[in-house]
Amino acid sequence: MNQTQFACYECDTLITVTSINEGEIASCPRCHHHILDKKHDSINRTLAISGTGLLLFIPAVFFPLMSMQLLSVESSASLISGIAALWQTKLYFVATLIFLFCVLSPLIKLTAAFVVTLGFKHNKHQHPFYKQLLLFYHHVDSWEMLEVFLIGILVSIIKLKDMADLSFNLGLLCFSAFMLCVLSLKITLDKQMIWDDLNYER
Amino acid sequence: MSADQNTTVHDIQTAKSKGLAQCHVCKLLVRVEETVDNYCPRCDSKIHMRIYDSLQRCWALTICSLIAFIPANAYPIMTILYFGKGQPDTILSGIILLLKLGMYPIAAIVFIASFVVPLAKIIGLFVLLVSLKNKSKFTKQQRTKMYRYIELFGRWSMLDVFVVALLVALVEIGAVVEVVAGAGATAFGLMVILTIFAANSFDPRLLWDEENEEDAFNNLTEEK
Repeated sequence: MNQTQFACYECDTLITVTSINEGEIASCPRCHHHILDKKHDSINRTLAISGTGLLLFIPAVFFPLMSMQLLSVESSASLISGIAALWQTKLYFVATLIFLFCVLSPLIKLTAAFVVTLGFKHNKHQHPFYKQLLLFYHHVDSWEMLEVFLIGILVSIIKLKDMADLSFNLGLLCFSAFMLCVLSLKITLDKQMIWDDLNYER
Repeated sequence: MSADQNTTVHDIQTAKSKGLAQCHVCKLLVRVEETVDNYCPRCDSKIHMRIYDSLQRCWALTICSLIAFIPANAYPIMTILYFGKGQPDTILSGIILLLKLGMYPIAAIVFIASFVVPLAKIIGLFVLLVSLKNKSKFTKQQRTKMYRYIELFGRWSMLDVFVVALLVALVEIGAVVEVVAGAGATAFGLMVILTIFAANSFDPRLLWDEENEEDAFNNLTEEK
């Protein structure tokens, strides 16, 4: 099983990949699309990072990210209160989008990565439940937009900075760390390795 | 590497020519029949030789996102009220305001993320779609790269919608300043997800198929 055939997703070229080492990338000779890469110590790293991310989830979403003070009136905003405020102004569609992109999909990604790698570590990942989780992860992957939200926070800060006194809360730190955890999954989680390890009847 | 570019096209075999298709989810190569639905034996996702009705779907979604682009820019995305007074801001007028305040880097980020990226994405998809019907002056490599960037940067157009959400939440309580979200935000969100769906429904393998078929033909004639 050291030699596997792949088809390039972008140009359909058939490529035989002989075993690659950790940290190496196999790319398509015709269109240079990345076919396969092997990640360093994927299972342990993913377990650690997704666990950290899950711990950070509640503070990142519910703690205020920043607060504003204007004529002795203070108000603060967290991710969830932003969604709630949009919901109250009857922008249900936008509120739902933000909830899906910034709360639900990162949560699904972290949970799926955590449970699957935990299952892998204990050699239980052949169960169809883990397969379903990996599929969930795959479908949610392209909808997660935490890093865009972080730049959104930056833009809001600059838009408001002349208007009022702004201060940053613990939530912002938690949110940034949470975002880093979710982004790191891309670097650490080797989905292909787990798929290749699954038994199936040919 | 230059060695790569010198690889003769005849060496290249495609999955399709062998009756194989790759599962998009778990990358398993599976022998498929073109006329029936095929499922991956390993992860149970649907497998197709090429994305079903890719061009039709992509055309439809791209046109829809172009239509949504108009209200997204014409309607105000939010209104900032000072003491009950204020003008509704569209995305572009918000950017102009940032420029007037001298915040050039941020104005550039917002302009690129919420105006250039979606527009470039829609135009890029049109170029890709048209290029499949007509001869294109872009090479296949260039167009594949174009597709890659379209997929990669699409999500950044949500930036302004996130800003609106934060501002609305933050300034909600204040009686002096108030931020009200506008209808443009809905159109904008709609446009973003439409462009993401459009990019997902485009099958980059179609760009190479013409060449693939020529190769197969060349191989056949050579064997004779």
